[in-house]
Amino acid sequence: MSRILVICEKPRAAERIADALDEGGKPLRRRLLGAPYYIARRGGDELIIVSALGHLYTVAQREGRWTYPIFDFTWVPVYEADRRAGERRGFIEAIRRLSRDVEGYVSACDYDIEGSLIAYNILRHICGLESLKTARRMRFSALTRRDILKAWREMSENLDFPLIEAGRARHEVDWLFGINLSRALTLSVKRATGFYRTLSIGRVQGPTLSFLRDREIEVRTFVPRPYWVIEAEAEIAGRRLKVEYAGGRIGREADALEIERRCGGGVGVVKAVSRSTHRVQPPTLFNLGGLQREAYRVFRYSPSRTLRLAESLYLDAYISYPRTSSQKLPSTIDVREILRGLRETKYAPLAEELLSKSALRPREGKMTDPAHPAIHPTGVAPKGLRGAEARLYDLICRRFMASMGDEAVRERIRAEIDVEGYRFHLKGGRILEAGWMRFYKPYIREREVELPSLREGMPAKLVRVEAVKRFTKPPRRYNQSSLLKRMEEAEIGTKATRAEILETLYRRGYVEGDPMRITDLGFAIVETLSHYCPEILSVEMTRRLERKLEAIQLGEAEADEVVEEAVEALKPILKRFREREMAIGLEIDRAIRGDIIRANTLGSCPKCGRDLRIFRGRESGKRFAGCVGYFDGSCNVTYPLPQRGRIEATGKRCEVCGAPIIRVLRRGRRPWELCIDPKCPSNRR
Amino acid sequence: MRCRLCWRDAVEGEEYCIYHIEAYRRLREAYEDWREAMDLTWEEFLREVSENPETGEWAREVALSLLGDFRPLSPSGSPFPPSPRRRRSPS
Repeated sequence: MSRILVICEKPRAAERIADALDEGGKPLRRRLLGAPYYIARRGGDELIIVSALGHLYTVAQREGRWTYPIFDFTWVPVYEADRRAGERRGFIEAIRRLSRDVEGYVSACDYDIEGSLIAYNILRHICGLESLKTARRMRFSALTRRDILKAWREMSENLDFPLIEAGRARHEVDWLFGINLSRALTLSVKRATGFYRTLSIGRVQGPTLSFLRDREIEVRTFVPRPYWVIEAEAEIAGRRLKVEYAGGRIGREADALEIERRCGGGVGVVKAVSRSTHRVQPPTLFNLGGLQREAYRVFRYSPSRTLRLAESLYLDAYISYPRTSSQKLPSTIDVREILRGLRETKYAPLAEELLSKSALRPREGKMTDPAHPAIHPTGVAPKGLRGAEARLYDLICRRFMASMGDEAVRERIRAEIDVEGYRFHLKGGRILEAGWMRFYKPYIREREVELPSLREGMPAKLVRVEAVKRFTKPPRRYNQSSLLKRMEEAEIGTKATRAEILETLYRRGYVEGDPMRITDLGFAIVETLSHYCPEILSVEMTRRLERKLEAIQLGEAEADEVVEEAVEALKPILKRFREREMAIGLEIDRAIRGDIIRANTLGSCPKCGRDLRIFRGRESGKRFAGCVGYFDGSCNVTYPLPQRGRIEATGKRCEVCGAPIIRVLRRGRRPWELCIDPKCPSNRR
Repeated sequence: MRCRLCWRDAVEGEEYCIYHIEAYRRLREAYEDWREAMDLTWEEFLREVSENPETGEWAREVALSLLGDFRPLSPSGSPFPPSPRRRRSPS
């Protein structure tokens, strides 16, 4: 009997793997130093199934001061680099103790770069270099018993070293860029002004921030142009229907008014009635990006929330591995088996309908992933799913089934109406055959406009004609979903890291709101970098590095060479940074202070019209609102403020006293709007 | 020299920073279309644009400044909060 150590990525995955691998289906559940582990029996061997907690090792500075440039790094336990990761110490120690007297090793982490690297680091740093020679790799795309047992039977003889090397290089390159540039920014402000604020930038954050900056300039410098549209309604066959002026937008007011005058109350005739049908193909299967965009569209879930929810569904074995680029489903995946599983759920009628078809082939997209198929349900009937998880599962299931549905057929009807020589369009449409739309119904926005039976020569009286003035609109700011798409198109970041990068932009105060609005600080960071080291913002450099990292994965490049190349690229950038440190620091500091002022300004003083800002009492430390006129002795207006929660300006004035209305935000409570003057009668109501 | 409308440096020989100059250029361009569409004077155009909710923030600031109505956020020069919270650096 041999003792084999099986390394899993997360405790929930370890539990599932242990349950599947134990021949009796009841592994022994134990806990050591806070870390759960399992003992299972299989084929006469004793399996010790341990769990990591994501990455247990990370890149860190070898030694020396908190400065830059830093090119000397090493891998250390995560808790040494991050004080918040103390929990991982117990996991490392537990694995160390459990790996004694072990004769074989198996990596059962998620089959991707991160999973491969997690297991590699555990083997290398805890079990010893020798373990790397004999360790084997399980590969699975779902945590069902069937998939786990198949992965056990078919596990490879070696670890997936190209994937591990690619992961190692990616972490090291990201660390080199992140640590050096972030420290350069932070220290430039510190040295120029003595003011400390954590600032960060990385090789993917830079270009992403510059997308936001470019869009923000478009929005903030936008000047609308007027145009006119003719809104009209016609009475045809006793029904009042909306018609559209065929000439589209009208650039001159006089022309629009002329059409309004000549067509108002006029009677025209229906001309050229046409009907056409067209087929609408089913949607493609989801990859992670597609799922994140759709979940944002229908539920307004942020990409990172969608990823978290999808991972939880994966760990419960309800869906396949979500961090995939693939929109394809290999023929080895038995879709009928999955549908038979779904018969045990609320999707039974839909699943039955698909099972009755003679051929089932999901509609695939172009994107591929060598490691995993498109996201799909596993067929395991979910138990007790609620809230957001249940909604996301529904979206995934319905999309999976819709992808195998028949084409939908839509009919379009179009007629022309001629009034006084001016043409108007009448448009209608309806679904003739719902096909796949039946499966995806809750998530389809389909507007049907039924028209009466039309024939040429019918009279059409325009009962309402109005020239309506409109204005052109600025381009839309990015939201989390459209920015994610932009990053995908630019080929920067990976499916696993993009959502996290967006979160960092918020956390650092570079963007706010949704749609995303770049702050003055975000602007200053991009401007400074574009002056002194534009390479950091260049999509080209990031994409080039991204391709090299992919080449390592394919065995076409060496990890050490790519890391060395990154160091060489960074050296001149950091040298330039150091030379201009003071100027850079002052520039960013001005933006930081501008942001502080903006955040602290609650409106204008009802007495003198200057800014009312939040200040803190020197002795009491309590916050209050005061007029900036206090500094030159011209005004002494002050108001007490609520001491708990965040206070922000609303831009509104009190209708009773004219003082600003403020908003108080406290966790777990509804936002509260009130007049800043506590004596104002409006606050007593 | 500072931009008349924000904290950024003004472009050499100009009153505005690069962004407010860009906004001004767009205002001039747009005026041609507005005049063609509605026959407005420059001042009427600036008034319309400054009140239009679709107008970008910087374009509005330039329009208001040209009308003489713009009030910068910090009229008293540089009244930054007297004691911003300072955190100690990790070094």
